[in-house]
Order: sequence, then C-alpha cells, then structure tokens
Amino acid sequence: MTRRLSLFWMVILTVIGVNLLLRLGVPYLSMLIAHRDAPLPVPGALMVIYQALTFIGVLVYLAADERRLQAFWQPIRSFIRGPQAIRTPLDRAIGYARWAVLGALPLLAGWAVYSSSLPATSAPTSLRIAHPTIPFEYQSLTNPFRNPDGTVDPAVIQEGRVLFQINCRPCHGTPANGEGPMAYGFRLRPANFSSEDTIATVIEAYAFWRVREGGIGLPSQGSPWDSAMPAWAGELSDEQIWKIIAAEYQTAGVEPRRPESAASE
Amino acid sequence: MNRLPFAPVLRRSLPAALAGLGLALVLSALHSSKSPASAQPSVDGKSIYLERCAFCHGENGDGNGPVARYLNPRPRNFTLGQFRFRTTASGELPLREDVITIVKQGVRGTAMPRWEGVLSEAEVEAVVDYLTTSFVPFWGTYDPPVIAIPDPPRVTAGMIEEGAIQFQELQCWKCHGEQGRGNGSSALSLTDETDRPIRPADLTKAWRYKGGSDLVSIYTRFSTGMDGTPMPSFYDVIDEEQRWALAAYVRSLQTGEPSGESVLQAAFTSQDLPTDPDDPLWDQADPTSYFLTGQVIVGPRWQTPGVDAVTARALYNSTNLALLIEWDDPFQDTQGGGIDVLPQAGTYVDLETFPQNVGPFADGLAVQMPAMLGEGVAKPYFAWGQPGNPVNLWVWHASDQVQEFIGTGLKTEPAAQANTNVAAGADWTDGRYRLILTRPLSTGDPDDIEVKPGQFIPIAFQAWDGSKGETGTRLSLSSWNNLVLEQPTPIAAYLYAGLAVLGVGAGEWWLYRRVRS
Repeated sequence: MTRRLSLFWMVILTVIGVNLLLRLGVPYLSMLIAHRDAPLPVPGALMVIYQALTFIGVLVYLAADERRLQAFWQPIRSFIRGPQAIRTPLDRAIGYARWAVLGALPLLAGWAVYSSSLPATSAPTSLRIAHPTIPFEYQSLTNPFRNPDGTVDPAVIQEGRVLFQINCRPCHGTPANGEGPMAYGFRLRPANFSSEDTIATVIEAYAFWRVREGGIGLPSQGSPWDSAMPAWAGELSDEQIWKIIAAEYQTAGVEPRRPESAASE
Repeated sequence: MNRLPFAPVLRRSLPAALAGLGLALVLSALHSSKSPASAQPSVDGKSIYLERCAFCHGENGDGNGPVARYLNPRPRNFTLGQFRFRTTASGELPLREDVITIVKQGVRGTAMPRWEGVLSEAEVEAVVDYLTTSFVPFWGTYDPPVIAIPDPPRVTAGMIEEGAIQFQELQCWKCHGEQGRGNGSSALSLTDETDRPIRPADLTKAWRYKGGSDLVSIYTRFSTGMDGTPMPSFYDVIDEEQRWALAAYVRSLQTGEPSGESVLQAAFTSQDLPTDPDDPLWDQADPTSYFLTGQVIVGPRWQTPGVDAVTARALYNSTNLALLIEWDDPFQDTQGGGIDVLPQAGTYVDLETFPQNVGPFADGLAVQMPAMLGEGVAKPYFAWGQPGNPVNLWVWHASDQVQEFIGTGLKTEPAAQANTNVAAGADWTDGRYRLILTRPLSTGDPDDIEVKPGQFIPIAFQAWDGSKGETGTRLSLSSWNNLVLEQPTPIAAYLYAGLAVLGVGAGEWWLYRRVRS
C-alpha cells in the first residue's frame, strides 16, 4: 500500500514544484496562449516575490503545529546523527553516502558563492518597448485610399504591393513574415507583419509614422540604435507609403486596428 | 439539508474536468498557431500566382517582373525550361514534386521565400500547376527520366579521403577553389543561361548552399547537375560510391554558422600582443562569428552583400588591445580606381543597370565603436552613428592603410580623425583575409574611447568586397555586438567562496554536536 510521504519530502517537493512551475510551466503556457515563438520568462522581481511567498507559507505551515515541526525535523536530525549501528552492507553504503552529502554541502555553497561573484560575461540586456506612443501629429491621420467600409481599390493594392516588394521585401519578406533575405543579419529582427502582435495591433497612422520616420525616429525606450528600419520620408511620397501600408496589411492577411474615434461611433 | 445526489460524482470528476479543460486550452492554442491564415475552400492557382509571384517572376513567367531588376540571382524565367533543383537527369524538365519542394522550402540566400506555412498544401500545388502548364515549354508532354537517390551511406574518414581525390581529379577547384571558398581561377568568367555573371558557391559556408547543405542534397546536385548554371552533372562521370565520397568531402569543408552570440571576449595576456595571425597566442582567445548583411538603410540600398560573416578574436595586455578578424573574400582587391556608379537614383541599387565590370574597388573592413561612452549616454545608431551621437570607425583598406574616422550616419561622408592610433597588419591566403588591428587601451585622443576591462563596449563590423562592387555605402554590415575585456578573477571571489565553505561546514558541525548530545 502507499505510505504517506514524510513531511520533509513534501516540503522539498513543494519548493521544487513551485520552481518548476515558475521557470517552465508559466513561460511555456504563456507562450502557447500568447502565440509566441519563445517561452515568456517570469520577470525576476515577480520570481523573488513568489519564491518568498512559498517560503513563508511553508514556514508558517510548519511552525503552526509543534508536532508538525518535530515531524519535519525528524529525518534531518536522524540524518545528521547518523546510523545507530552498522549491521548490513546497505547500512555501510548509506553511511558513506551520508558523509558524501555532508562533505558536498559546504563545497556546493562555496561553488555557488564563487560563481556568483565572478564578473559578468553575458551581454547586458536592455528592455525594449515594441510599440511606443505615436506622436501627436500622426495620431489622427487616416489612409486616404481606404474606403469607409474598410476596403481598398484593387488597383491601389496592386501598386502598393509592387512598392512593398521592391522596398520592404528584402527585410520583411515576400509574404510579409519578417523573413526576407537581409533579415538574418539583424539582431533586432524585422517585424513579422503576419503575426498578431505587430501591425494588427496598431492603427494605420501608426504604421505610417514608423515607415516615414524609421528606426532612428523611435524614442529611446524603443532602442532606435538597433533598428535597421529606414526613414522613408523623402524617398517615398506619402501617397506611396499609404499604398504600401494598404498592401502590407493585405499581404500579411491581417486588419488594421480601427481608430478610437471610429470604434466608438 | 440533503446533500445533492450528484455531489460525489462532481467531486470525483472535477480534477478530470479541469485537466480536460487545460488540455483543450493547450490544444486550441497549438492548433490556431499552426494552421495557415489563408486556408480557403476554393483554390485558384492563377490568382495566387498573380498576387504572390508575378511581381518577381513576371505575369508571363519570363522572370521579368518589376522587382526582378533589383535581384541577384534573378527570379527563374519559367519559359526557358531550365531548372536548378531537380531529381531528373541533366537537361530534363523537373518533376512536379521538385517544383513543389522548391516553392515550399524556398531557396536560401535568394529572394525566393519559403512558402510552407504561408500557403496551404493545396494552394502550393495549384500555383505550381498553373505556372508549369502555362509557362514551361513541353511541360507534361513526356515523363522526364528520374535519377534515383538511394539511402545515404555512413560517412567514414576513408570516404572523405576518396572524395578529396575526386575533388582534385574532377577539377572542382577550378571554380570552387582549393579550399572550397569559391575562388578558383575560372570563378570570375562564369555565366548563367542568360549570359549574366554567376559566382561558384563558397562551399565552406553551409548557409550558402542554395539547394541544401546536407549530404543527400549535395549528392543530388552532383547527380543531376544544376541546369542553367556551369555546375555539371557527374552522373555519367563517376559512380554512385564516388559521388557519395565527393559529397562527404564537400560536406567536410563546411564550417559552423554564426551562433547569434553577441559577446566578443578579449583574453588577457602578459606577453606582447601577436602581430602574426598564426601566433599560438591567439588560441587563448575564443572566436566569435557574426553575420553581416546588406546596407539597406539609406538609398541606394545594397541587397547583395559581398561579405556575409566575419569571425573575430580579441587579446589584450596591460597597454594594448588587438583584434584578429577573419572573413572569406575569394579575390584580393588591393587597388581602387574603378568608376563609382554613385549617386544612383532609386531606393535600391538597380542591378540591371549596375555595370558588371564596375571596379574593382579596394577590399576593406571597418570596426565601429561609440565615440562616447558612459552612464546616460545613449548608444549611437548601429550604422555609422548619427548627428550628435557619433561613432569611431577603424577603417582598413586592402592597400594596407588604416585610418580612424568619425561617423555621423550613412548620409554623411565619415570625417578623418586628426590622429590614427590603430595599427593594422593583414594577410590574404586562398580566399580568406586575416586582419590584425591593434590599439592602445587608452590613446589620450579626445575622439577615442578608453577601453577598460570589465566594461561592455558596443562593437560592430562593416566590410567591402571590391570585386563585387562594394565601396562607400554599398557595404556589408553587422548589428551592434559587445566587446568585453575579461577581468582576472577578483581575490574576493576566492575569499567569499572559502568563507562559505567554512561557514556551512561549521554549521553542520554545530548541528551534529547538538543532535548527538
């Protein structure tokens, strides 16, 4: 029959379980739910809070009842005390294993301290805001080629499509999926317009702003120094840019977000 | 009050229900992320072709759509009936499956994208049926003879040796070069089926194999040839075993692809920094490889980068920093003197009118760091900086001149610094440059940053391949990476580790005594 797990091992399993959930479970589940390509790690500060809560919870649970505390301490105490008598070869083996654990604990602690006080060798990460706020002067612009019912004349789409394929395709790719032939060389990857979290989440005026002013026109929280997005103002006319944007949504198979004013009507 | 009769059932089945709900959530997430967005019931090959393919391949399938003039290699002209990637004999039409495979997988390193996951299976088949029956002469009039591709053998050292002999005997080196870097003596005189110049592949770069870099793909190319290119079929020249051996040898020439690692670690040495790339001291420095891509930021943009990767190592001593940078360039161009075709109208370099015999220009390489560094100073723009936030460029040209420049963006000519504190020494052997750049850690020059151990310094690379027409802003460039000078392990690290060992040990002893007593 199954024996109830001892309190000591239950505590250990709880701590391991919470850590697995935080480090693997939540990141992978949120990746699936948010349709991302990579797991979304739990932020460091939250991680500390959750772990502290688990720790406090365990402590409170143990300390609330004297017998529980004793039950928790019992295996630890008998481990430290060691076997009472050595009768079988198994006892002897357990005895050696006990000394190995007692010897390994200080070394593990030493190693952990040593490796955490080594100088950093991995690049500093910078938090980047993918969609900083659109400047005021762009906010109320609308695509002059979009009809009130949301459609665009096929001839305009066709014109925009050719302009997109000449000018944007090298990075953003023929299907507008961010996998153009130049994309491999950029650490900050060109946007994948067919995903649900790029142009589908913004109004067309936002795309118009990004195309005109380019990566270098981003505010500093958008890490403008890493973006290869050209500033197209001056090279493409505003009319050409609007046509490209209409074709870009159509190629990617997504719809622009409707402006707040239109949505509230 | 009575308990509800179904309560026990509910209690028993609740965990199962929750598990089922979770599973359903996960499955639905999986499902909706995999299914192509454009799955439609009715599939019309012609309209897909006109919407997705015609701007490159042309409405008439002649490979002359409005985008084609900017591309190299050019889009396939279906009306010529010559196809590179087939499983049929040399000179024959491909199978329908061959065309489907290329449409689904794309051709890496070219403008042909991977359509798998974008178009559904039915859409791919429909568009392939449309373009083959509409444009390819003699399509469907006969069954082209198929070259059977057997299961690959296990690669052995003996096979690779045998392949190396074949590589010599079949004179593969005439085009691909002795080391496979695409630098054979005939490499510059090759043309494709439209008489446009074409370069042999650099076989050391797995990512440059258009038809795939695995053993079976290489074997297939040997067996079928690549119609429309100078690459012949060896089906009637060497037997199956020899073709596998040659494929194994070619595969052994491949080197790793840049991993995406950004940090270049400079190792400390107490000796003088090496000036010879063969100096064994370089073995102490870990190599890091970076991708470079075309300058597509300011017009006229350049989407045919001549140098697509560099490998860097760094060493430093108490006074100086040395970088060893290596990259493949099949032909050494030491002299400038070609006519520059800039300025050209248009957003991209028009490869139709870009003279093929332009140049050569001198090959070059630039190392870029910020001109200012410190808390609260934003990084400059990764491509030559920007006005108000400049970069420091160490520009080396194959005429073996090195000069420091201040860059303020791609739209302004970089300004030469008053003093150049960088020394250069380069070696070009069999299609590969090895360049050593050395600079004092601190130059005292107000235009240079001081390089301190432990600090992450943004670093980027740019390169020019002169015989591919690169000069000025027609260049290959990398993103920002990081250079860090390794710090010796601080004494404190050992001290604290020792304290931790003693502390935990003492704690155990104390517990042991308490438990025993």
